[in-house]
Amino acid sequence: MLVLTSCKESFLDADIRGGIPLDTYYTTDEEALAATTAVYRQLWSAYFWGGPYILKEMLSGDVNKGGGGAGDWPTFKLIQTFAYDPQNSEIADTWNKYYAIISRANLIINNVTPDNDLRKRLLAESKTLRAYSYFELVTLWGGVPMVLDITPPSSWSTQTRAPAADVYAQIEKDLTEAIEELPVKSSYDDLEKWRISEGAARGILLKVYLYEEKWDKAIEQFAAIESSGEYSLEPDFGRIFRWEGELGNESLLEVIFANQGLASGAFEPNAYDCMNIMLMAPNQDYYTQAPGDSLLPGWGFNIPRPGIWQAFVAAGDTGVRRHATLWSEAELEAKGGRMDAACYDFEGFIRRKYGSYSYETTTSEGADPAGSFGTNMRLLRYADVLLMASEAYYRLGDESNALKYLNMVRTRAKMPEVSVSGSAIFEAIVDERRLELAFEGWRFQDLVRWGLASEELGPSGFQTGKNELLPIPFAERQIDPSLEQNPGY
Amino acid sequence: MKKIHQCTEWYSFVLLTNKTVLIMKLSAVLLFVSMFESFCSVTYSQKAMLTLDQSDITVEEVLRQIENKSEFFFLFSPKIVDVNRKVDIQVENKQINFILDQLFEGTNVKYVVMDRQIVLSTKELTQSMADLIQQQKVTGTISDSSTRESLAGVNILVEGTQQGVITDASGNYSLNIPGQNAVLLISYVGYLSRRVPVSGRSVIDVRLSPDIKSLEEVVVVGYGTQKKSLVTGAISSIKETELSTVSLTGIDQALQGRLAGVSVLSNSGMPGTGMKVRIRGVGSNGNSEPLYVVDGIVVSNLNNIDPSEIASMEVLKDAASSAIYGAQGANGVVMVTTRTGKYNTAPVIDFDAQFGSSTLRNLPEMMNATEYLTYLREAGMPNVPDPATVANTPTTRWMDEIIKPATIQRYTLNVSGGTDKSTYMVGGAASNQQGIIGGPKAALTRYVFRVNSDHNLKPWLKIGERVSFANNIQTSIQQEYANSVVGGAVMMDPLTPVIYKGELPVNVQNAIANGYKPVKDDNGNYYGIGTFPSNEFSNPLAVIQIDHTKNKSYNFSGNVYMEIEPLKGLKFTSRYGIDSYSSNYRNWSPSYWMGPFKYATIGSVSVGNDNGLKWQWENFLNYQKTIGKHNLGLLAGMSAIKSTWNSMGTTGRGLPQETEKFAEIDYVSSTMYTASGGQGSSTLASYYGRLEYNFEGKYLFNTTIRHDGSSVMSPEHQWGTFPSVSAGWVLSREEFFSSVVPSSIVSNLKIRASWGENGSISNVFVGAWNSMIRTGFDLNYPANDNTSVPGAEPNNLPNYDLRWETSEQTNVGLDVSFFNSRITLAADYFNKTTKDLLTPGVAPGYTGFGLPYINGGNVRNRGFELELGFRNADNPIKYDVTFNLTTIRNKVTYLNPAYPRIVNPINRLLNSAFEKGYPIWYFYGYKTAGIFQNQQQIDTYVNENNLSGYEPRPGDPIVVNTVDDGLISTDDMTYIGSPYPDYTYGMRASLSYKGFDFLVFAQGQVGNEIALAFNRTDFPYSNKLEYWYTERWTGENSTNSWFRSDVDNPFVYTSDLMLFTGSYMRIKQLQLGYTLPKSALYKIGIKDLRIYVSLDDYFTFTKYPGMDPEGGTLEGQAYSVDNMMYPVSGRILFGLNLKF
Repeated sequence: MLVLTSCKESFLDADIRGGIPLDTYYTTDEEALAATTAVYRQLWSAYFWGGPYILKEMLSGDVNKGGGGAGDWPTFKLIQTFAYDPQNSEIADTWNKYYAIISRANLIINNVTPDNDLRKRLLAESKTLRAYSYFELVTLWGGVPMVLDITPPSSWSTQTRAPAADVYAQIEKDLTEAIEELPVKSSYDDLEKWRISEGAARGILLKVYLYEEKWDKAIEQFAAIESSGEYSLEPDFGRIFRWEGELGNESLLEVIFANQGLASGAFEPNAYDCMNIMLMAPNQDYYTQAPGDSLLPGWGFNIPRPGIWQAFVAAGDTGVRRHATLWSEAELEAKGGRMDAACYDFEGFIRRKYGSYSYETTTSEGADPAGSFGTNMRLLRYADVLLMASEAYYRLGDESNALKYLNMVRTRAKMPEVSVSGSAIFEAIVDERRLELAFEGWRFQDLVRWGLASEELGPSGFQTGKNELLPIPFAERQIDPSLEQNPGY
Repeated sequence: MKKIHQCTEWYSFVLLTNKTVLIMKLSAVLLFVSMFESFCSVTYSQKAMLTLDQSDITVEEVLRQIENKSEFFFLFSPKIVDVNRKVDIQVENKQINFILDQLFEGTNVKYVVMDRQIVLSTKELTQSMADLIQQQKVTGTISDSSTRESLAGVNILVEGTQQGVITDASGNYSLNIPGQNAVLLISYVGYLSRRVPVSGRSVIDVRLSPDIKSLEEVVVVGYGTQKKSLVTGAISSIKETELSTVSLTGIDQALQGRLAGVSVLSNSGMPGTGMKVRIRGVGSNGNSEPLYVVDGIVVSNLNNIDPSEIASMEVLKDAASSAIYGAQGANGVVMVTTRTGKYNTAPVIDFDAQFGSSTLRNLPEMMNATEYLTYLREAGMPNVPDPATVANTPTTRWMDEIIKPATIQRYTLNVSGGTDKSTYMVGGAASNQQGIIGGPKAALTRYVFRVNSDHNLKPWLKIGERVSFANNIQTSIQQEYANSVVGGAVMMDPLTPVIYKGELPVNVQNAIANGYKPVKDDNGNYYGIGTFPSNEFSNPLAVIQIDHTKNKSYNFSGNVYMEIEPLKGLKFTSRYGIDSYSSNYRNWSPSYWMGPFKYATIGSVSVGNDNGLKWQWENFLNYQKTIGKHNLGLLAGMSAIKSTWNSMGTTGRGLPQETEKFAEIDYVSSTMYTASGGQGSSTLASYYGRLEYNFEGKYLFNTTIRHDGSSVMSPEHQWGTFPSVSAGWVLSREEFFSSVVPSSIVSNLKIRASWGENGSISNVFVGAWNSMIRTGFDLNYPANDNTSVPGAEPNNLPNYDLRWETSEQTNVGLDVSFFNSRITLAADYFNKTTKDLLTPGVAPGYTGFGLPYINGGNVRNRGFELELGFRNADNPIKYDVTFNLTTIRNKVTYLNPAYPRIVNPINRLLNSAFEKGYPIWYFYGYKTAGIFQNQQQIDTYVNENNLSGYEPRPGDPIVVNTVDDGLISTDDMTYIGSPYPDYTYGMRASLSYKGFDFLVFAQGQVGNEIALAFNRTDFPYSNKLEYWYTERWTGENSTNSWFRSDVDNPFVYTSDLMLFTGSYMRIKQLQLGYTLPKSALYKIGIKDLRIYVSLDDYFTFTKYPGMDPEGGTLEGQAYSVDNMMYPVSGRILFGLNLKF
């Protein structure tokens, strides 16, 4: 008993294994590296299952929810039909995922001292990822709480939304600072090409300026990207989204998914695979694969609607780009495949971009191929950069440069060059972005930015004055009622 | 044996009073003589050889020497015998007769040797004495008061002496008594003792009544025992006699329905799955299990104790009773005391055997093929053939296919006994319970061994041990949710055949052609694959076929103790105990194919080892002192507990042969393994004390305090202090009361009240309050298909304010017994508030991290408990009826303002929520008000509520527009039901007549809602309860209570339509036993033999249409949720209890 008394304090010392207290971390290069990797990992998680990609696709007007039936993930159907409300769990999910990236980046930005080149670079990578996340938040929700450090519970109920302009200012600041320290893509080793490079940060900043309608500044960033010589269009459109196209010349920002690691059979995914790919593969219960084709069946979400097909038809795009973007039922049948018309939400078209290709998956070690898609998600590619440049030049009245960069993209897509002027150029850019970037998640933000959302999305249920912005998630406002809700919710 | 023993005792007594014997009067002499003759043999005088060599000494001195050298003693009157006469005596190894003949040669003194007693007298007197002896003999028969059965082995003692006999096999006795005024004390284990004055009778037949000594019962409390009459808290007990009728292997199951305030919910009916025990409501999130204390040692569960090992179970319900366990006591305490032998008792061998069969008694009715197809077509599902075209397709009733009667057997053997210094019990139990689904693949085999003993080494020193070892071998199949066996049986379409006969369907042929392996049965037939899209759920028989999961665990627990009593009333106890486990888990499955989304192309095996040890060291002092009418008890002690655990697991893929004997990691042909492992520990240090005081057993007072420190809390919040006070007043001991109400009517009346606080940290882990950087596979980032880079991040936000969860409870109660305890009543009212409830924290999403635990809110449970007993043991028909009733109101009284409502999904559709003003984790969803009968009604509703975007169809439910915002949306979700019953009850009645006994035990609950959580709208082709078909809306005015055929409408599946009243009554036990007449058994050395047949969980009365109103889920905080768990089976059992 005496022993117990005298050792009282040490007897109760907790053995917290496998953890280092937060306040003692972020001091070594190794720690800074690992902490930065965790920021990327959150970006990975955002694109792994549900998340911003599916959410933004549902808002695009170009797709149906799909899946096993109306009751299969009904929250996405509500988004597709603009019938969502603040309690929609998918809206909260995307919100949370971006803030997960931001909060981890904050820890590095606030705790890692820029004592050497590596640390400076890691700070810059983190700032870029933070800026990218805030950019998505501000374009989808408007002004949002600007969280730049750990938020103690005492301030949770008083957190307010920063004005959108302040959020943009912070994004610009982060990206501008980051660009100073970031290396160009080619200077990274092959195994580090996934890291944020100067080009990626500039590409994001270009996009930010475009949304802010700061056309001059946008062109400045484009000029820097173009002159770096780091990027070019992939000659074969079909190759961009294939394995061979991963981290290729056209890629500015990509999220890595891999076949690596162990899968242990059905429903046990590979360690680094992209489950969204399986989620979006043609519905297994209705789909018969065409002999020789590699598009595997899956759960049938995110199905093209006729509108996007008609847009290709209207543009006369019947070539490689359309072929790599979507097929019609007739095309599938001609190749010996089949899609049962009874399939829920199926309207005659099969998506090929971000398809569930057998060569992107693996069955080694008994892995479930459905759970092993190693398809990278392309967040920013040079074609987007060129189209943004085209738009900025057009806004500045430089029609020749506007056409030049627009036609670079069209040429690659085996489309004839356009030579129009005035607002027809803008219309051509709008059309081109829809086709070139179909199923890449940017359509909704573009339409809102252009003021075309009510026209294009009205038939899908879009209400002007409300659906331009998503609602602040219900749970956030429960904790903090001072977070003002967006109009209409 | 007994006679000699008694004789020896008496002999010692006489020796001590040797001096006085010499001057005794004749009457006294006669007393001794008569006493003697009755039970001593006469062989001693022939065996005892004496040697004497003395000259010129008095007769008295000779007699004294004989007494010293032998066991003889003399009785005589100095008036008759001249003991001062001088004699010479020389004898060597002679019998007493020889010596006495020599000694009294030539005198008129005669002697009579009766065993060791020698009476010296004159001849005449000896003769009259013998006459007297003859007259003073009493004979008779002792029998059971109600059965009239004679009782063998009954003790009969003459009051004021140690003289006695025991009855023979026929219950007869014969006893010499000292006089007409003698009083016989008759006692027998299990019967009330009786005091019978002889009053001149020579034949006295006595009937004994079984003992129902509830008032002077002793109950086990923390660190000691208390007389039940002095208890001031709320404590319920189950005694050995009641446990002996239990026909279950799990002791936690035995608690179900027996005690007020104790609710026991099944986790699952799979053998060995365990139960959820909740004392006085749900006071906590997650783990609300009570503290289990076995023989003073905290153990993690009661899985390793056989009912036959238990002497008593006490449930400490109110705070004052459990506060002595402080930080661990907030959810109540279950104290288990294991059996040991009795002092001075010959070995008793108890053997019990039980065997029987179990089967499912309540099968949920699913739609048949025609109903299924009709329903799906009406719901608008594509690709559904016309039922008319499949009229000849037999319906597969999957539930019937998977359920098979299964065997149960259980054997126990215990030996107990004791000497005057030691007691012991050694025993063991073996049981095997096969599952009704999966048979040997869902079975539990258990071996339990126990050694208990106590040794009084010195008058001031006692040591002993309570040690048990258990070995469990458990096989299990997948349960809960869609990919479970039961899930498959519920959801698989009824058109798919169990096995294919004849040609295989094209999809199966293709799968085989592509190298996949559809599962075959033991006869080589392929199992049917779902006809309709079935996603994750599969043919349940195929799932059973590929499942091979076995868990072997070894538990060693117990304690050694030492008790030192340096002063009378002061006792120091030091007790060291451990509770340890080691378990080995193995699971393997072959490659298989059950459809396009459930398959494995390679066999795999997983092996894991877990072990843990909790040691506990208790040192405490007990002091009892009575000063006049003041009775005082003090306790002070310290305790230290340390728990450690280790785990290790590996999975390997690629078995050289997909058979049992190759399913080991060693034989995995591939190089691909995954491994996991870790270890951890936590500590608890405690100081505690108790003061008990009572005045004349009339005014009772009790107070306790405990101070606990735990390593799971942050250094600033490591310690907590938990006090309690309680008091009682025994009115029946007051003169003013007993003068008005005779004790023959109210034999006991006590009122009591208590208040106390307890803590709970069972949901918190070490470091939960802190923010720690963690690394791990799941934080890495892939660089490409071959390489990944390590990541590190904080696991959560810190919560430096994390405090103890404290439960505060007030209890007032009443104990009354009427008519000599024939009717007993205990009533309690309690009000228990758990403050600073530990809730999984929800930080705002913009903080970017989770918060593991917060002190989320306060939950109040208050209610009434009633335990009522009727007993009559004096009639030929003996009965013992107990009834208990509990009503609890659960309400969240405070919620951290940061979280006005915490919503926890039950499945993808239904939710439970935590919100101020409602029961904890109430059901949250759409409220409905009938069914829309026609479009006009819909239009009216939409207009009246100003709704937009709400477009129901006739046959859809009318969703109540709770928030008037022009929308029917998730904002309208609200409270739709409580998972907690309004009241629960239990009733147990045992009757016996002659050798027959009959037991009925029922238990039930009223008023809770059960969520039918197994529907999956993402699997629209899943089968549904037949009820949904027969009750469905089929057109205007067909019904206003059930919706049209529908597979995915959230306003149906997220609404109160998915809640069903969960009231039920279950006959837990119907048991009929027969005890063979003791007289017949006595001759063949058997003390007791009872045979019985028992129907357990056999009849359930409920309107609940789902699987089982007892529900069951493995999740800690889900109540009344039907997740298609393995159902509870009904059992028919035969058994025998044998004592010899």
